[in-house]
Amino acid sequence: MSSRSEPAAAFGGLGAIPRAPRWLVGWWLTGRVAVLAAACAIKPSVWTLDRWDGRWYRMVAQYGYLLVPGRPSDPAFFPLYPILLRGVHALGIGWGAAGPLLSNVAFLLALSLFYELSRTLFSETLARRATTYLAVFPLSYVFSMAYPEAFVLVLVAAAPIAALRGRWWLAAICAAAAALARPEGLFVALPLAGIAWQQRERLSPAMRGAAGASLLAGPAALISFPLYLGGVLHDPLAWTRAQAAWGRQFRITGLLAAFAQLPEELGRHPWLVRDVLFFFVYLLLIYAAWRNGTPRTWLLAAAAVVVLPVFTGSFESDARFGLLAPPLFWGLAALTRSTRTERAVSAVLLVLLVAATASLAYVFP
Amino acid sequence: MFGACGVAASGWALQAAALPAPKSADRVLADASTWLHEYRFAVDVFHAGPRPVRAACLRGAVVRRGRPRPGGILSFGQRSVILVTTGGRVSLLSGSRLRVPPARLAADAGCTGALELALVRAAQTGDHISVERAWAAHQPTLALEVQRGDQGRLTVYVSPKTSRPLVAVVHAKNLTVKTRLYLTRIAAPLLHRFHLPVPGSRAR
Repeated sequence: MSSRSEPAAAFGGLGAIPRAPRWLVGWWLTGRVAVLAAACAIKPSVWTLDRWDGRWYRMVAQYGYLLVPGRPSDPAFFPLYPILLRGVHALGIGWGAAGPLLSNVAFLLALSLFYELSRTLFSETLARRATTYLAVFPLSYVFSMAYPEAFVLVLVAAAPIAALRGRWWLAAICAAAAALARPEGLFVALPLAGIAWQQRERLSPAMRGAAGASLLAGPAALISFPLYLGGVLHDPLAWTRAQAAWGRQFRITGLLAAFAQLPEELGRHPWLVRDVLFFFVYLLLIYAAWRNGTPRTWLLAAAAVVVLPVFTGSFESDARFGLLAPPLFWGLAALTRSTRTERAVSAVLLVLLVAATASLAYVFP
Repeated sequence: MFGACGVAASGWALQAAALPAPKSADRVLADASTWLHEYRFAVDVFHAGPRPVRAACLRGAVVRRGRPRPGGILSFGQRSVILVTTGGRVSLLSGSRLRVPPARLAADAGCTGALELALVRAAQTGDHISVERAWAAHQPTLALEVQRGDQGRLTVYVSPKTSRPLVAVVHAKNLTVKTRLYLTRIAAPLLHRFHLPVPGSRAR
């Protein structure tokens, strides 16, 4: 390949967006019907799937950012999802329905890409099992809500697939978009670094540059957010201030503080037990993924996604954050080897998914 | 490095092109709420009857039924002292019950906590907010108007340069309460003058 045609090839997509096999569509449908049914049982409208953080993303989409110092305000929410909401709304879909619609469709694409990625890294059997578990994972109701997680999962799976196929510029775009949608998107740079290291002998100088760009794309995109906030709100630190008002501030002693304050926090918010339980389950799943031969850069990214948020001094929402760590599902799939166990685990996950969706009436994910 | 700058610039351009900039009314509201957040104490001059009435409101945690709750104490000196809790509940601590201005509207207009909450709620719920040039407190101001549904209308006149709240007007049903706001640092002589407790002491 000539050096001139290389960049074009690097942009050349994922080959084609992988077609979702029927069983995958079936599991997606099963999970989404369970979520929608449980949500409609709480209140027969889009209300359930459009509330909590969804309301804030919608406000950003409708009115733009506004920092109210000392109070929870919307600069705490990343900009890409509201931009997409505006795009969907421009097609004539109401604000309330735009988020759940976007998320549900994105989740089907995310499952397809996750399956493709898992198949590339592991066996067909494990890929299929992991994808099934992801489709009906208890916290996966978030993928049907007006939250950016489904879309970020698309990007988190697409970036390494693109990199594995040598489409480094596309990987860079996906990594940048992921970082603009959720802070966890930043960690996709770790598996990309691992892939770039593996391919170092084969990459031409131009492609090495593209690979390097894909590693820097996330942090660079992330910098654009405070730059934008500085422009419109005259405060580049608006995100940090808003996060502080929401009770989230990173500190070195945050992890210790999270454990030290846990009894008191549980007394005030009993639902926190869900996030604490998932935190430990996620750690076990990362261990299982390591035993199964998951590449270390992926494990590091998963650990960062699960553990770093606790450095804010709280376990709050950690169960949801972990959804963006693919190794957790590879670990879970590796733990269940027989078909009978797989069926039992899928059934249990599905029941838990319905119960977890019903909890939306009381607590945010 | 060049590529990273390109990505950052593209990200910024995407946000600038695709997201709406906050409206000037929203910006004024956010700035005004910052002033109210920073000042726990305000001296008020109410204009609700034949004569102006002087009062002061101190924001803080008030202990009700053994539990601290956000609220404040609005004092009209020897005339009456009112306990205000978030949610608009008022109860008489000492003195006689107020007729002019009505206690609840007085607390809505004269306490920084209640005013801040009203502005923040408007910002967080996308309520109709408008801003226009006006004249109040013997100076040019910006009139920030918030429609609060069943709770009527709130107008806060702010300094055009700093957005410091100067006058608050609460319109509810057939009643209107207007107060000149003097946001002030807490000082012992002022607290004594208005029969207000020193912050940290328990109000029953």
